Amino acid sequence: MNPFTYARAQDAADAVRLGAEKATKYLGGGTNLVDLLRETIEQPEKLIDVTGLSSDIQVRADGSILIGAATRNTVLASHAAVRTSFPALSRALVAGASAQIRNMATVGGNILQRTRCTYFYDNAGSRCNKRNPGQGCDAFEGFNRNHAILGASSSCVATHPSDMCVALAALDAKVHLRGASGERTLLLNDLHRLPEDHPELETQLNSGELITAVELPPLPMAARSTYRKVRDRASYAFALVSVAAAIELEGETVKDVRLALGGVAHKPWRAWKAEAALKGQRATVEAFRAAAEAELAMAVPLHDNAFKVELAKRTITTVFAELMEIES
Amino acid sequence: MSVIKDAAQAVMKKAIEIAPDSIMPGGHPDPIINRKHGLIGAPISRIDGPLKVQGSARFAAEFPMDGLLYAALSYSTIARGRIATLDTSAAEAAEGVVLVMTHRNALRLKPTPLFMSAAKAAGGDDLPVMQDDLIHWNGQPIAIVLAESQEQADHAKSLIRATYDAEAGTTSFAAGKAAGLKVGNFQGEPLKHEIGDAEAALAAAPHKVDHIYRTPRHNHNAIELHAATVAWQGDELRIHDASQAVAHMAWSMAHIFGLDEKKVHVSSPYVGGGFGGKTLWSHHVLACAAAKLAGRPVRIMLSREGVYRVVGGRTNTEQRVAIGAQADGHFDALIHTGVVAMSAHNNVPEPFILPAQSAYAAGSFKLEVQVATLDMLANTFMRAPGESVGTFGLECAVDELAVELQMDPIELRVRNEPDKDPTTGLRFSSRNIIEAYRTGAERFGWNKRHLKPGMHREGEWLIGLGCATATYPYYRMPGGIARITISKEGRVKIEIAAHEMGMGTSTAQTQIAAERLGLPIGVHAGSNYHNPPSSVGWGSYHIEDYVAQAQAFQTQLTSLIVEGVFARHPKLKMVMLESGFTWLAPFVWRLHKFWRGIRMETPWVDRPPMEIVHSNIRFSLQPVDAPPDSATLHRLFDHMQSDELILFSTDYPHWQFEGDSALPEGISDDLVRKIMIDNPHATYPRLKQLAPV
Repeated sequence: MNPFTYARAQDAADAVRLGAEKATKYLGGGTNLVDLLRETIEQPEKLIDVTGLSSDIQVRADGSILIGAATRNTVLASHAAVRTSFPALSRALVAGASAQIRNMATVGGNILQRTRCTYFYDNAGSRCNKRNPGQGCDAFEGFNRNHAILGASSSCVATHPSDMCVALAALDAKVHLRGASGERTLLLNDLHRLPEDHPELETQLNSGELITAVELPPLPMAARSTYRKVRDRASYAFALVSVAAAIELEGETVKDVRLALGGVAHKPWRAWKAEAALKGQRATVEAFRAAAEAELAMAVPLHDNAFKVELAKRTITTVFAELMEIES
Repeated sequence: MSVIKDAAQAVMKKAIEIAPDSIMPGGHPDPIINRKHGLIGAPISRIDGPLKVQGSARFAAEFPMDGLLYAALSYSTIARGRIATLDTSAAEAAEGVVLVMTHRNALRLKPTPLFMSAAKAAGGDDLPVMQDDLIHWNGQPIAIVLAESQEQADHAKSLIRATYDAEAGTTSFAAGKAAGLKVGNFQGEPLKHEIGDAEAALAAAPHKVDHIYRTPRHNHNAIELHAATVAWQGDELRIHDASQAVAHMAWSMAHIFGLDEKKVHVSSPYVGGGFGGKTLWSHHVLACAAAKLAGRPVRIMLSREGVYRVVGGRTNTEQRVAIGAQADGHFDALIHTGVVAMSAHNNVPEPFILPAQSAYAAGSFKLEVQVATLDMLANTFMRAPGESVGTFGLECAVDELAVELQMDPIELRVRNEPDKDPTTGLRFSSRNIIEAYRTGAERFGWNKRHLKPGMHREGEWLIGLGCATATYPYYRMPGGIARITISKEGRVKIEIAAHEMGMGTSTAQTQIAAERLGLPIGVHAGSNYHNPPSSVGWGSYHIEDYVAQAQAFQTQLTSLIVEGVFARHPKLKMVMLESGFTWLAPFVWRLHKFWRGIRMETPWVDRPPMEIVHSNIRFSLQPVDAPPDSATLHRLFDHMQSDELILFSTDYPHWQFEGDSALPEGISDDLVRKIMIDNPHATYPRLKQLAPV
């Protein structure tokens, strides 16, 4: 760990003012950033603690919910309106990390956490384009069981580790940002980037820009939504494949559907192709499977993770069947 | 590993087999094993529980010391080769740094004694620690930084830069296998047994299974990170360690540093999980060497990454299990062979054939563990080395055979139950597996299970019933020592080179000690003069002292009974030595009457004093302070209302009352038998174990 200074922001304006200086990082619960500091992967000169910013959860009349970025994961997961109106989000949150970590972790920090790729962390011993741009990638030919099968590039095959973001991606969540040049709003789906040739650039945030809130727009169909996480052990492990899904029927026909995948890509993966394939179809196991096939057709597995392709298809199919309460 | 080391290990194993038999539970002469006080198995709370909850149980990295320095390790990033350049200048210049030790300035030390190569060897490998520029595994420490705080040490070590002349190491299992295999050695004996021609029997068998089972490498992951707080006091070394082997640790560190074993003091009162991994690893050696160089005490606590770098684990295995069987299930051939990975400086090839050596009868056996040599961290013991992963392979294959034979898997196991150890021919000291299967089957509802898998679903879970035989040998390790101290207040202190690793050892050991040391307490007249024997003060003549001693016993007994000693310790026995006993009956009558009248004052005295005396107090026979006629003696015993209170004794070499007659005249044969034999045996059961002289 390198020496750094520490300051606590009073409010968002204060944070953005402090955060405008160079080599500054915002500190939420610290459940990821502190590890990165210890490993000297992140070497900020200044930390701005933003846990004192808004942690309100506002349920609006139209059914939308505005969540302050400093809200702890545990608080959000156990919020009554979230549990009833957006169960996929609640389930995704409790599927992540451990109770202790969820008690510390903030919503804003969760979105901006960095990959857990072993080679990214192995500061002294491995090459990593995300950590040291242009250095090369040891994961590509290394142990890559946990790595990406969708949207990866030859420069980076890391995955985004968040469970919460997969649910947010499926639920069309928006991210409220504040920076030196003012406020703006992005869809969560547009916030994270695919690696392409610059895996060190992970989001569309500008320098010094801060996440102040996450907004869940009204989505009545989300009351029938869920999150399923498949991993090597039943707790405290990152997803091999995870699925956030919501479905709405008209008779036996799929009227609307939301689907996002975790553990498979550099960002929470919104499954647009599967959604398009399913809309207007009869809600059958065969249709779910076909939709999954459509999404995974573009998968490019690595030598240790080919199983993820079939695993993702099966998990998608099973999750929709479960939402429909039919046998898969 | 060398032939000499193998031979040394074989000798060690034999020594272990022979030595401790004399104190083996249930063996000879351990005379008090059968004494039962009902303490073992009693549901008492963990004695370490409150300490741990309050945070006052002190673990290895929590011992405060003046001038303590904190250590951080820098690790190699190649698996094999030499250090070409090692730049520590930035680390040395960093704030708070006191010392950066590398192979260039390290103390000259002897190599680590490899576990099992000597009685108290505790090392995971036999490599010298930081003595040269050679790299043997990826993660080998190349520098240790000491600083005034842990954060300063951690930061400084991140500033160390190394380059290497890397050699082509062997780091993949496939490459290691291709480079050639050798037969593994475990505890000095080759892991290879062949009885009959198992391959031929397998080929000829009407039913067979033949599968490969693989298990991954397992890392040690105890909650408490490996840690030690070490200090030199002159030429003596104090190590507060997280250890599973304090005696081994002391001997091995003495060997490495060229010290007398008695100059190394290792303590480890609490261990936050051991699992076989908390033995001697290079961080111990480095911390002690750096502490010596810096002249200050050092605390080292490995990071979680550090544990994976420095502390060995269980190697991966690739096991072939093949069973040939008759239609009735009887095994014609049992083959369990395969390959494990090991480093060149290690002696723990995961002995996965141990279960197959004694689990089943078979017409022929072929059991063998082969070793592929890799440039990697040394293997070590981890939770049932051999049995754990070996059982997995063997028992899966037995189940596969049961499917092949369409036979109940328990029945298949029962049919192959051996009547003696199938590979050594030795009889079993205990083996209740059939009974365990029968009882387990009954309790689990085995006969209601579905024969096809996947038939029983509860929510999103598929529920199934399966079975497997597990074995674990009875290991005893040399090197321990125990000291038992009983104070005159009756407090027992037991000091043992064993470890409280979180499984309740200290609580169970306390119960065992209390059970087995449930000895009567003797109270002797005038052994220790602190107070005069009577309230009128010290006598001027012997006769005053002698006579007053009866009063002293009475006041002592009154105190013990009324203050509630026997309510707190109802099983406690006390023996009054040289007390006389003629005073007993009137004393007890008096005490008993007052108790009946005003016992509301002492509600904790929950039994009549008469009953307490009869159950808890005994008296030595001599000196007999009664007149020498049998009618009076019999009346005295009659007044005591018990013939079980008196134990034979002599007053040799004193003859104050009885001269040279050992027994008073005129007591009945029955009473003589009680006094001479029955009463002493009831009070001191060990006497029964002694051969008559």
